[in-house]
Amino acid sequence: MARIAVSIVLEAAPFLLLGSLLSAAIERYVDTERIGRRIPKGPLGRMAVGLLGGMLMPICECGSVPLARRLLGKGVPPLTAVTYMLAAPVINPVVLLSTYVAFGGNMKMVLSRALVVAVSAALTGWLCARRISSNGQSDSIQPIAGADLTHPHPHAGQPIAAGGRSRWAVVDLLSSGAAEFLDMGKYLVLGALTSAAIKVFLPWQIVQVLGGNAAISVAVLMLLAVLLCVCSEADAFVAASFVYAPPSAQLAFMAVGAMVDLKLVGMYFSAFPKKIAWMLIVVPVVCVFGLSNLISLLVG
Amino acid sequence: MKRLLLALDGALVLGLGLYMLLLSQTESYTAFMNPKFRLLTAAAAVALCIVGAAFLIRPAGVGDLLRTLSFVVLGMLILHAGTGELKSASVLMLKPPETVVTVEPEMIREGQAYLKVNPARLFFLLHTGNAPALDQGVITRGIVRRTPELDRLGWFVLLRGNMVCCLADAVAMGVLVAADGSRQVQNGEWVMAFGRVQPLADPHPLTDLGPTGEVPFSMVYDKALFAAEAVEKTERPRFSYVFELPPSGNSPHRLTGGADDY
Repeated sequence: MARIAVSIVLEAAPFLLLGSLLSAAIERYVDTERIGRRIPKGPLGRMAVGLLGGMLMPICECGSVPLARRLLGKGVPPLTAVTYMLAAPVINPVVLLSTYVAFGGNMKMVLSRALVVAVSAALTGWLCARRISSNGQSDSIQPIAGADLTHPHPHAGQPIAAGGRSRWAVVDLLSSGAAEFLDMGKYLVLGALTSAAIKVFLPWQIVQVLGGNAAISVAVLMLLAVLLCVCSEADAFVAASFVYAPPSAQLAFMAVGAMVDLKLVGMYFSAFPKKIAWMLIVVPVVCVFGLSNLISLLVG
Repeated sequence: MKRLLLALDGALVLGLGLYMLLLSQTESYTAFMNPKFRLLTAAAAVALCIVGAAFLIRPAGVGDLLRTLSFVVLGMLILHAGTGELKSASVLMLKPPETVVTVEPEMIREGQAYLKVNPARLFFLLHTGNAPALDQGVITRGIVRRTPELDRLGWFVLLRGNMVCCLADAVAMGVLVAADGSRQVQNGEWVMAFGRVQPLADPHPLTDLGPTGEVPFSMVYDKALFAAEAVEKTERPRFSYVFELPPSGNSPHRLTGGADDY
């Protein structure tokens, strides 16, 4: 069990670190007002910016959470930030190419995956944004205490956020990245441990239903995706390995795993208010289940 | 106390980086991750060392007991996970094993050539309709799984853990084997089987195989049978996992693990 947990951490750590360093860089160098001015006011425009950001800035799901949290703290609208957070791990060229390769050049699968994730991400983002604006909760989505990026020790009392160009600037940037990594990393460790325990103790006979009813197969592979915590960069190959599963179940596995898994659940509850965190879990699951079955019915 | 926690946090990040760097340079890596990610792990390890050192010099934020504890738990898990199933003598071998790729594709036994194919690759070949020809001799090696139902037929299952990304996603994959001495091999034993693949008139789906080593579930190709001419017990190979990717367009099947790759 220990080895499985460690393997999950080894797999996710590079991407979590990348997201943490990007997050720290945004905190230091990105101008809040400029961001606010450049993002469209309408919901469709905000969704589009989130999706476009996901295509242009490839990042794995572990890294996208600290990054989205920082973007929200810098004034990016929740609709854009949440849509980006959920879509970025999948709709980028790297992951879509890996899906293309894993499924032997099956463009239908590639496009279906991008579509299911983009729609789920946009819908979740829209619902979260409505919730936040109706409850005036935007203030509560701020970097958590552990990552307030202030140096507690006496020789460096000024906040990094001030963006100072001191000789310590690079060290402070890296240190902020480490703080983000530690804050999110604790949920990665707890998620990996839980995932490993479930993997060892779950009755795996459930996988035998994969060749049966399509809707049940979708549900089973979605459950597996949540439990296995496979990185979105590689999950297409894992999905393609489930050769007895119908394509709709393979599609659901790839779509939901990048938005909801055990390590992400902890991160969501740490970075967002409780009700938003629940929406980030429930809405993508419902969307992916519905869309995967719908695509299966329409396209086959 | 808070400064102590912050110092410990920095040391833990630095320690994680050093561990990942060391692991990425050893054979043990293959017990945790697909070796194709070795470079990624090494790069992240160096970055972790740098940010850990920066955090030690000028810690950002405030201490958090839970996060420190969770990384302490990770350290304990790493110590407990050890070096995987690999022999300790090879743990610090600084030449990644997958660089050894000059492998004879066939093995000669009693004057006959047998194509080396591990059970996971055989599964994929069969599934995609690229099975070896009926008269092609094949040697495959894996872990034996027996069930009462298979015993009645004189069959067993031969499986190999296939790791796509990391140990968490590993699936035991393999084929049904028919052999005269099928009852002489025991569950969990490593064997080499020499034989030929035959299609089955009716699929023979299996249920309830249970875990195989560290891998909790299995997939067995149920529309063909590996008719074994001989089955020999063998030592567990140096790399117990294989790293087969599902067939992908025109790309060749991956060959990793050097001489152990069958």
